[in-house]
Amino acid sequence: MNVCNCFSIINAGYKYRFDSMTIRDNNIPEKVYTATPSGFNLKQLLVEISREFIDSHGLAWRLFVRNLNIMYRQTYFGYVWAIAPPLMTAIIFIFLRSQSLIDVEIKDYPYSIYVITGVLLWQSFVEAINSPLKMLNSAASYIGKINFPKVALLTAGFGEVVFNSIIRGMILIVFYSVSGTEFGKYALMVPVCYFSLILLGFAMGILISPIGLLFKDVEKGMAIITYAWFFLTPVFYALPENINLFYIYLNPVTPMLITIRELLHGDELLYLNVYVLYSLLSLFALLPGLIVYRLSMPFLIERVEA
Amino acid sequence: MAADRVGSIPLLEVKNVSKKYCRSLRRSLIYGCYDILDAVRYKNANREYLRKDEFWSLSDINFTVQRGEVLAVLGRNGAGKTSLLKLINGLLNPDKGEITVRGSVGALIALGAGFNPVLSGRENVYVNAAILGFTKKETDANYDEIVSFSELEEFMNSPVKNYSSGMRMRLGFAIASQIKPDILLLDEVFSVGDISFRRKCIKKLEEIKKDVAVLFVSHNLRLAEELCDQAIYLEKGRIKYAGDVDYVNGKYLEDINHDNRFSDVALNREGTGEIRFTGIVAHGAISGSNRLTLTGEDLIIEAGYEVFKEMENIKFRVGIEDTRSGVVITMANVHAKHVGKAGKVVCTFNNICLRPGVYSINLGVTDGRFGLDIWRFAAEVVVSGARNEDVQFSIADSDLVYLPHQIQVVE
Repeated sequence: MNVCNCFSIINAGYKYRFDSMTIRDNNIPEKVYTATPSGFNLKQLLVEISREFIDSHGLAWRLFVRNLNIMYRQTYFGYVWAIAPPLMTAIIFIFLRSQSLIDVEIKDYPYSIYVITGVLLWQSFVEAINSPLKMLNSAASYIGKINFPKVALLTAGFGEVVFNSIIRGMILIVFYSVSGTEFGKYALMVPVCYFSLILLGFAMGILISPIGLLFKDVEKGMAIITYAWFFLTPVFYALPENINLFYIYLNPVTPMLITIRELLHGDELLYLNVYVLYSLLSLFALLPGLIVYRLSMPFLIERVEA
Repeated sequence: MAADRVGSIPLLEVKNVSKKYCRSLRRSLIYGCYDILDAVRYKNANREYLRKDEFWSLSDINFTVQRGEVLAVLGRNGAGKTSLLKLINGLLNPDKGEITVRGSVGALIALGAGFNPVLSGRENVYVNAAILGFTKKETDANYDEIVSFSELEEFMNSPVKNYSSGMRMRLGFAIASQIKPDILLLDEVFSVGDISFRRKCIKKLEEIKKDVAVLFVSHNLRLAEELCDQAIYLEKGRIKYAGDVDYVNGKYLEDINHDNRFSDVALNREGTGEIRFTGIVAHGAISGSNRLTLTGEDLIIEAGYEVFKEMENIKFRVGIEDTRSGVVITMANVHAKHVGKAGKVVCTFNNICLRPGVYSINLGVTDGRFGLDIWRFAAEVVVSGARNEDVQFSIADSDLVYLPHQIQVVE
């Protein structure tokens, strides 16, 4: 009842801070939240981000397993749905070409293999772009209520993309063996290139995810952009041999897709330098992406969760 | 009480903390983009002053909590309680001031976060525990305790979508209660399950409270008195009262009691205007305090009206709405063949069976076709506790209502 009794509440024991701490609380870890940024310290930030990745691997694994579990649990055909869309797309183009409605000239090997390779790779790329935002949205109900390492969402999302890509890779192998198409000499390098294609998509996805969580425009916009992008990339058609290098540079997916196909068939690697450039770029783009992701998180939470 | 702890350092220190919010959604999102840009550039340009449509949702908050102390955070809806917890939990950054947190923070806030309806209870325990920061090993070790605490032994292998909402909450609580933090944040969590489960939770809190610093947000003043030592009362983002929990509770009740102003007439009001309500008084029958009543007590509502155009056959309505869920709990109707120039509608709800919480009184008058005056949120009524101990212990916050009953064991 006594107002004076509220010592520990108003103006609280700040002055007691150092005079006699209990032994128990002596070494307790301390965290201070303030508005003022403490100055840009790239090294510290990177250390924090990597520690968060390491500390959260258990959570990431759980989320990854959960996502795999729930994806097809309420379906009868299960994982068939993972491969149905690209197969359908491939079948359409194969049909169109067989009826001479589109004209695509492929040397040395069947068009069906060409288009299935393209469609499966393309699907992995698009999945990678959409994954970070999808993961953030799936956590929307608790992201503003529980303080957990949010990079785990990225790890889990990336794991899912890689997992699905491996399945697609296996489908590809099945198609190759069924059609009797032979692999090229350096086909074992394909997983590396496949990985950098995914990485490229994922790095882009991370960069757009913070704004995407705020504005639904990003999600809607990405649907249109990837749709148009599909047609601007040699997924179901082949580029003419004397194409202007400018177009190869313009669309980073193009050199990656072409290089992967060339490796699969043992063709000459025409755009290897462009491919290397973009895969290095995507590796470096991960860094700013992660920094933006991390720094923007409190602001996202504030705006998303009222 | 805290005299013996003067020497120890507080686990939680909140110093001059302020936080802004934006009223307009689209503008809020745009500001969010600016803020992210600022954060990436390590600038701090927009933090200290208010931009258009912004207001201070918390302003100049100061307090500390020691180990072993339970601090109640009281205040009406929108006073800033939840924002405060989010700041302490590190989910949001303050716009001004500084929060020092020593040790780990655990929050019993979003119970059952990330529960997926198609996964089994067991699978969900592991996911939820991982989100709360448990390793697989820890969850394995705690699993049996979680299951027995939630009392859901037979249901662990069925999908969570078959659970009732109470069962989900119980499971969520059971997982979350495994955390052994230094600072524990509780936001209206004792609204879980039935009485026995609720008692169990309270017992659990009593058990651990000597080892942690607890922040407790609740509308249930009785429970706050029972569990807490200290309290702060927030009003419009500021600490209005702070101190001993009895003192703050008293002040809080006094405030509500003296709040005789009619609520903002312009807002939440529709209708053609032939008849207008002029004011409203709502009070408990026994306590007689304005805007305040107890579960099991009569609630009397008086609403004055003025008539601008003579009307026949009109209908008055007095409704009670749960401010949290927006559910209209009851609606009392009365016909009037003829109304004069002015008058009042008097409505008595007998032995109201509302659980403790904040309710709004809605008024309406219609001629059968048009709303003449529809006044939502005409007054706010606080059900601050129960009429007596028996009633107090048989209501859980998750109950919809309290129904008067006789219950006995016959042998």
